Amino acid sequence: MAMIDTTDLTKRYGDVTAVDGIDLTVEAGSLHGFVGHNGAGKSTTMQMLVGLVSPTEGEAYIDGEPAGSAAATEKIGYAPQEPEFYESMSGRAYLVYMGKLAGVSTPGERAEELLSWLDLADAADQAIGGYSGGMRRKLGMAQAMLESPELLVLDEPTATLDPEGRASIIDALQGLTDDGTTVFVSSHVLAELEQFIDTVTILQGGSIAASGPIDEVLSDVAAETYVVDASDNRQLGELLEGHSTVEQVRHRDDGRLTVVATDPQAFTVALPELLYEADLGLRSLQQEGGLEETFLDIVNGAGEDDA
Amino acid sequence: MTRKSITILGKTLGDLSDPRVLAAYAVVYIGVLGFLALAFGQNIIPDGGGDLPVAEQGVYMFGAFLALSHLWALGIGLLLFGAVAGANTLAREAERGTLRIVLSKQVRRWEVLLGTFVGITLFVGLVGVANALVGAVALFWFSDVSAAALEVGVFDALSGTVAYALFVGGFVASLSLALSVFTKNRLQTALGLLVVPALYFALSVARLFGPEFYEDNALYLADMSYHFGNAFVVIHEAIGGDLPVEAQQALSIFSGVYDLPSGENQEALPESLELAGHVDPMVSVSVLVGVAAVSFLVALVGFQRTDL
Repeated sequence: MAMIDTTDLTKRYGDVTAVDGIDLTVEAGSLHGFVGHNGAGKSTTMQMLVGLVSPTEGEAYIDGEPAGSAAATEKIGYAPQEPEFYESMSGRAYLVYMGKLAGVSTPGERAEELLSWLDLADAADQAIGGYSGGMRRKLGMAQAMLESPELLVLDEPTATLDPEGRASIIDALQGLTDDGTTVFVSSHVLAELEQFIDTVTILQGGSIAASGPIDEVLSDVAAETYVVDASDNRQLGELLEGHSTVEQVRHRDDGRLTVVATDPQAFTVALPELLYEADLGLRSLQQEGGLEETFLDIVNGAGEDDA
Repeated sequence: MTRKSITILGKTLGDLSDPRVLAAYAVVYIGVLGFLALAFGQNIIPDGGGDLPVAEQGVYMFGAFLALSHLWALGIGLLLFGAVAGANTLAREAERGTLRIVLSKQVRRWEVLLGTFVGITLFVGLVGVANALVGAVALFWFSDVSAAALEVGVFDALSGTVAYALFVGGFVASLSLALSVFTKNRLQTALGLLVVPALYFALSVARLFGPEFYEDNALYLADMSYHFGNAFVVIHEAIGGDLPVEAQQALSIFSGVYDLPSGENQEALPESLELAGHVDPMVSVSVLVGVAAVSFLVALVGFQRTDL
């Protein structure tokens, strides 16, 4: 059975449609990435799954139970994007309190376990008001995991963490799916996300732009992306604009060119000829096509359509 | 109550025990109390009571204590605290966003509401009792009654005081939850709750200084001091028996519950004063209970449907 199953899930606030007819399926035990621009509807969708926001139309089910019902809530651990805590409480006291609300039989022990696992043990008796952004993020994850949920819904779990902190969270998430927990996670750090997720949904303007196993989603977007560095990138960019094998040329901040090829094979044949005719040298050529590029392709493609 | 409601209750009591809020309130409460206790101690108790027999001192002390309780200790003073307390529970959680994580847990929304309701009721009730006891000390301080008069004057009224304090606490708790659910804002919740003591004060003044205007425009219908006064009398008489006429007289100055004798009848008090009769006391009690019950139900239904 799917752990998350939504049909035509929609949320409107007056004239604004935040989420528009989402049909989403997430299999149990998978690590599912949920990607989209700010304002794409990710957080609203997650809040509907958790039962904090009621849908305007459509349905959502968590392991067969209606989202928002007591039976569904029992299966979920949720960490919001910007978690708010009781600032005067210590981290330990907070986890014990949340553990009691979650119905954990030994909230004190479970709190100690999570504090230790997430490297918060030393600050456990400190008031949360004194925690750094990374510590608050970890505390948010800890409270989501108190009741060892079957489904973890994490909204930007690695934001504000240093690389070491992000790596430890990612390791932890991968370990959880090995134990059968389903993880539904959103992130803006797409290059990092694609390293550990099994499936992905790309959200745009409240609707699903692409969804499925990560390999299929990346290959479905027909273009291949290359990063080119020549002896004169500006001149090369002008030559590539409008070339038959090239869909798009973007100038990067580091001076190199990102080239989206419509026909990758033809492009790799045509490029050396172009460089030779223009008397330009090739410094490096790298192939991309990761999640970040796919996401930008989808978004920019839609932007061009809109234009 | 469920275990989770009790957990929420404990948290609510902890939130309301903020020493800074309690200290600020104490300054305001005692500041006003001083003036009232001086006035009541010297005027409601004839010439301070020092020359009266102990039994009579006790009776007058009882009346002064009830009057002070109704007006300030369990009246405007407690309702002001209730406005601050009510705004610092559910409304604060909704405004700050801490409620999202709470409601993502396996705790039902009605459990959160029930725990918060009981917490506010108990804490406001406790503050009310403390207010009344401090008020009694102040009355004793500013009058000439002996300590022996306190048994009749204060301790006999203690059970009724506790019951009435919880009644006010429950009323404040219900209103605060309804306002919190719909405003999700501390300031708006507090302002809404402040309407009650505002009406309490304003219409008491109208009744005292413009009795004809008060009656001609049926202001007693909106007069919270009158309705709460009726409830005050009903609860005290249910627990402690009929109030002595001295207490009725003292109470009526600021509540308007009884008709005060006028002219040549002022010197010789009857055995019991007539009720002013604008609204039957049980109707007042029913209306107050009804408003509280409806507020709680509105909060319950609204909270189930509210998006966070």
